Order: sequence, then C-alpha cells, then structure tokens
Amino acid sequence: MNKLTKQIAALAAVLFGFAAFDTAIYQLCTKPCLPDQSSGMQAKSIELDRYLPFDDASEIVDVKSEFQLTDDLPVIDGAAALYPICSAFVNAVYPEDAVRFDGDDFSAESKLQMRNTRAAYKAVVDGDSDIIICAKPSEEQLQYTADNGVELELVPIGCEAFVFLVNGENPVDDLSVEQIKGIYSGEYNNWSELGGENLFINPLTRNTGSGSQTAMLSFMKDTEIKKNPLGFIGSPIGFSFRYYVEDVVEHGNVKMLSLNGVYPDKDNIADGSYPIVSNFYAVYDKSNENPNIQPLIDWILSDEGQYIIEETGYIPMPAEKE
Amino acid sequence: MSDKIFKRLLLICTAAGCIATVLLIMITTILYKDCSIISYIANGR
Repeated sequence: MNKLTKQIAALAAVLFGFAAFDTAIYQLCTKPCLPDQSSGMQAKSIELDRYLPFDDASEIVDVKSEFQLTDDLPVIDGAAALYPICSAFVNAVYPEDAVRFDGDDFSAESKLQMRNTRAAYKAVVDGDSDIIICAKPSEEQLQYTADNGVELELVPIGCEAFVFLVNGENPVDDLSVEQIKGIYSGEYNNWSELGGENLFINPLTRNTGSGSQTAMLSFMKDTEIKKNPLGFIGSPIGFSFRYYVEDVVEHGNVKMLSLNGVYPDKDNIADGSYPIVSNFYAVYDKSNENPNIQPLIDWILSDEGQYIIEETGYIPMPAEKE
Repeated sequence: MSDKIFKRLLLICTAAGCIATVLLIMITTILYKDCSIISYIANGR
C-alpha cells in the first residue's frame, strides 16, 4: 500500500469513526426524545382548543344544568389530564362571558384556567384560583401550603387508574405490583428477568410535583426510586393516569401493562379489581370566602356533575379506592 | 499528498467530527428536557 492510499485510509477511518459514534448517540439517545407525531400525541398538544367550553366544535361533555352561577364565579383550574372535566363544569353552570380564550391560552380575567398541577396548587394557595381539580398534593406542595398559612380542603370527586406504560413492541404485557416496585427500586435491571427481551430496563420518572410523580411516590411508599445507569440504552417503562394516555395507547406505539393480571379498563377500575386506583379532588382554600365554592362542589357531586365525570371517561364516585 | 497537507486534513476532519458530536449532544439534551414520558416510550424500543 503506497503512502497516499494509507493517508486516504486514515482520513476515511477518522470520518467513519465519528459517523458511527454519532449514529449510535442518535439512535440511543436523540431519537427517543424526538416529538411523537402519532395522532394521539398530536391530540394532546392541542388540548385547550379541543375542549373549550361554549364552543360547538368542542369535544367536552355538553350538559346545560338548571343550576347556574351568575356572580362571584369561582376560578376553576387544575391538572392537564382533568381539563376536559373542568371545561365541561364551566360549560354547564357558568355564563358564557366568564371564559376568555385568546387563541393560545386563557387570559388573566377568565374564570377557567389551565395551569397544570404544580402551578394550580400554587395558584390556589396564592389566591389566584378558587377551586382546582387535581390529584393529591405532593410533599413540596403541602409544605408550600403550610409555609403560607393556608389549609386546603380536598373533596374526592372521582377516581382514575394509575397505569404503567411500555413500548408497543415490548413483549411484556403483565407485571405484578411487586415486580413494578422491583423495577423502580433497582431490583430488576433487565427485561429478560421479567419474561422480556435481553434489554436493560429504563425506568422513567417525571418532575417533582407533577400529579403522576406524586402518585408514583405514594405507590412506592418508603422504597427509594433508583435509576438504572445503563437504562438509556435499554427499553423504557413509564407511568401516567389512564385517561391521559388513552388516545396514545389507541393510536401510538405505547401500551398499558396489566397489573397482577388485570388490565386497566373502565370495568376493572370500577369494580375495584385493578390494583392501583387514585381519587382526584376538588381542592380549595378553607378560608376562601367565595360563597359559590360549596354550592359548586355540591353540584359536582350531584348526579349531573358525576355524569360529566363518567361521560368524559373517568370513574365517578363512589367507586373510590385509594 | 505531503505530510503537512495530510496533517491539516486530519485536523480538519477531527475538528469537524468533534463539533458534530458536541452539537448532537446539545440537541439531545434540549430535546430530552422537553420530551414527555409517552413520546420517549413510543420512540424507544
């Protein structure tokens, strides 16, 4: 081999080495982070538009109640997953001019807001929202509440299954509650230990203070969550509330796992056979003097309010199980 | 090809490779921060 050939070979080897290294990074790390373009995920990204109150094209449960509020309207806020319920409540009992939507978000004077769980808890403590519809508060949210001298009332108004998700091509369909705890505590690190492929398990978590992360910490109780350091090259498992992922499971490459042999469908949640079901709550500041808070919550717990919860896709009370 | 040109080309290729790798890692980090659990699972294995 002459000198020129060796030089060209050396340059080609350097370029090929970088290309191979970058391709590996892309496949293992970058690609999983790209936005999912499936219809289910697209639907979630335009949620506010899809579920606006007083809109003929809205997908909310359209009930017009005889119970109507006209003044001292409580500001309703809450978790993204529960926004269709909040919107349907407002649609049923508020006057139309109570809601101001600028095309992207609700304006400050709107009586319907959608700040999501973390900001909604802050808003109810700060007095910016009167009633929030959310999962239980996290330790940090309870601490913020105590630091501000506020006492919250949590009224259970419905319930929903806490579900675990894996990629649609993962052959594992069912795990026990103990196996799930084993995954998140670091006892199981490879899917082959659970009847799956020989791939590392990548147990995903969410931001502290989000409703599903709080539910996960509650599920794990005193067991510490440990990350698998090699998980990023493996196959992931995550968690959410059933309603929030229903569209994605239907149209995307994600599936919900059965727990202890029970799939999280509405029947199994309602009859209590699915093992992890959490209440969601109407939460308000006990010292809030708005006279319509209690009447509105009474209406939410009435047949009409519970009908909205059920028709939206959640499980109404009293099928509660915490 | 003279040794001088070869070394210069080798340096250029190495620098370009390093820059591409750093950019890819930066883009991945930004995407990871905004990525939802569900998207991550759907795009994974």
